Order: sequence, then structure tokens, then C-alpha cells
Amino acid sequence: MPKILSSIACNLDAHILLAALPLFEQQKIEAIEWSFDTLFKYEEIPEWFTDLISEFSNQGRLVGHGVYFSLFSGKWLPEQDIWLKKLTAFSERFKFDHITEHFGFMTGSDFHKGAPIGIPYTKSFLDIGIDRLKRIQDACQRPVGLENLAFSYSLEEVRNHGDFLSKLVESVNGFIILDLHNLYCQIHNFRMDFEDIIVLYPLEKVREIHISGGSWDERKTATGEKIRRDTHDDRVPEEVFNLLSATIPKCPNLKFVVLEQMGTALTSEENQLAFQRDFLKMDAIVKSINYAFPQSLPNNFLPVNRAILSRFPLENLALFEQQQQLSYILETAENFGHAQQLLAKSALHQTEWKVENWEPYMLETAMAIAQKWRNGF
Amino acid sequence: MKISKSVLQAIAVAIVVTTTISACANDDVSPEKEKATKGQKLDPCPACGMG
Repeated sequence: MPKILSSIACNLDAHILLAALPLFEQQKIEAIEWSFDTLFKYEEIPEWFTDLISEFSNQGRLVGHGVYFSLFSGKWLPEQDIWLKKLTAFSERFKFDHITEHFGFMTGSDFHKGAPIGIPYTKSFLDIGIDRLKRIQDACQRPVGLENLAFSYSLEEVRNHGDFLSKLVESVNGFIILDLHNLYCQIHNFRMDFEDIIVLYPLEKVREIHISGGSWDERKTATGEKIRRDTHDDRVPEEVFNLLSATIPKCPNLKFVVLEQMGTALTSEENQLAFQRDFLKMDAIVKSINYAFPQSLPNNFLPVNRAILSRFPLENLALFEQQQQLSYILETAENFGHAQQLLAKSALHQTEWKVENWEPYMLETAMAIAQKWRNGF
Repeated sequence: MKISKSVLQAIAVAIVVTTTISACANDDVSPEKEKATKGQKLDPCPACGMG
């Protein structure tokens, strides 16, 4: 019988490892998700860490989760080429069950700065995304997936996100990661009901679920409530555990449920113990629902055919220019009014970006996100 | 999942011993380039959570 594996996001981070060590010792962690492209700060990967990765790799319980590829960048960047070459090398060394990336394009002046921000759901961006997914799949020869984004500028975007994700991954027989804290952000920030939003996602394509904690922003929504942000710096809220219980039975291809938390939020013993309790609670939910699943996974999400790649990656330099202008505005605008002025004069004005329809409180939130990550981690 | 004792012990030692190494912003890291950590500082990792 297929089993859903209770997993953690495990990276080369002392506090994450410190929090996870007792769970490793108790053999509670069944798989790990490794962000293989976050090692850029290190000249050398410690041998003990590759030994840990290898243990999970050898048992088919390792998944790779990219952070910096910037899937929808309108221009093909030299760093994306390097990223793919490293992915190929890592995939030859370790047996990833699958490889995933984030939805969006990265703001920021270089490859390791900025944060993922959404794009308009147009044919132009769909074509760029499909081109990039095929290149990722070609590089790793593993199932490939994308994670839903926490951030949206408008309710229209929220409603169309799942359908756009589905069209993207269909091109590579791919799958989606359904991040339930990201969904919780959308439910709260746009006042939607779980039953209304969950049906907007292709649940038969969910192979991985994420849960995490987040934070409340001082900015307010249209109804005067605080904005919810996906900052991964606190315990998993009870509401997200409830979403997990309600979502698992709807996902027949689910294989991994992953607990994520930033190492910077795990510096105290109290926080590390809370992380362990969250994991055990997640594991109990996963185990309680496992019985409902079919004898074999209906879709293994492996490539159906070897991807046919054009010699040159698809580019749209007009979109890239718009992305650069948007990144600059989000990172440098002094306040909401200033950002609106700059957007009205920019190449995004009266275009498919629909900046005129962006919720003011979400534009402010986008500014906060971009300015937080402007200088990298 | 069971992990070998030697790996668990190495992790335990490494996270205690993390002292100093500058975190450079280059792309030198590769699967072929590795060695044991001695006195290496582990910087926080962003991964997800860029919200």
C-alpha cells in the first residue's frame, strides 16, 4: 500500500538540524526535502551533510526543492544555465524522488536576492513557464512540480492560480505542491472559504503538501484585518492543521507531507521543542488518514516522452523589462502612494499586469516582501 | 526512517562545533567539491518562507 511520508524541509542550517536531530534519532522523519540551490554561500558541502542526504537518497526518500531558478523571468539568465547544470550534477549524485520550484519570478538585482512575486496568467508567461519546466525536467530526468504562491495582488488572481498551475505542469506530466499555509494566507487575505478555494486547484496533481507557520503584518486588508504573510517563522497554526486533515483525503496522488520552518525561528530550545511537537502532530494526522488511499498511485508523474527543447530558451524581453521595472518600484518606493505613481508611469500601466486592479493592501505587502529580501538572506 | 548512528553523531558534533567560516556569495559549490566540516559556520538557510 502506498504510504504518505511525513517529512521536513532539511537544509544546511544549524538550528533546523538541531531541532530535527531528536526526530531523526527517534526515526520519526520518513523523508526530507532539500533546497539544493541554497548552498551558494558555501565553498564546500560538509561530508556529514552529504552523508545525511545520501541516507535518504539511498532509500528513495529525498526530494529536491529549488528556490532561486526564477521560473518566469522574461529573459534567460546565465545563472539559470548554471542552475540547470548543477541540478544535473546533483541528480546524478543523489536519487531525488522529484524536483520542484516556486511559482513566480524573483525580484532582486542578482540571482540570490529578492523574493518570488506573481505574474499575469497570460499565454506569453505560460509559454515561458512551460519552456523552463521542460528544461528542468531534461536536466534532472525526474518528476517535476511547482508550488502554489502565497501572494496575490487580487481576488481574480487567487481564483485563477490553480488553473494556471495545472496548465503549466500538464506540459511535463508534472505535479503541484499544495502549500497549505500559502492557501491559508489566500483564505484570510481575500476572505474566501476553504471549500470555495480548494476546488480551484487540480487536486489529482498534488504529490506534495507543505505546512508551516507565518506572521501577521501590521498592514490591514479591505475589511480591516491584519495581512497574513508566509514567513515560516512561527508554529503551525491550528487552522493549518485543520486544512491538512481536510485536504489529504482529496489528493489521491499525495506522497509527501512536509513541515517547513526557517532556521532563524528555531534558535531557542522552546522553539525547537515546538517544532518537534508540530511534526508529531502532523505525522499523527498523516497516519490517521493513510488508510483511505488506493493500492497504487494513479500517476507517477514521470516524463511521458523526452522533452523536445528548442536550442535557445524562450524569451520575451518586453516582459523582462516590465519585471525589472516592477522589481525596482517594489524595492525602492517610499510608500504606497509613491509606488502607485511610479506604476502609473511605468511600462506596466494599462497592460495585462492589470496594476490598476491590484488591491492597495497587497501592493503594500509586495513592497514589504521585496524590500525585506532586497539584499538577500 | 532509520539513519546510521555514525551520521547522527557527525551531525550532532557538527552543529555544536559550528564556529566561523565566511559565507561567500559565489557559485563555487558543486556535488564534486566537499570535505568534512571543521570549524565551519552554518549560515541560516532561506529556502521557502520568502513571504
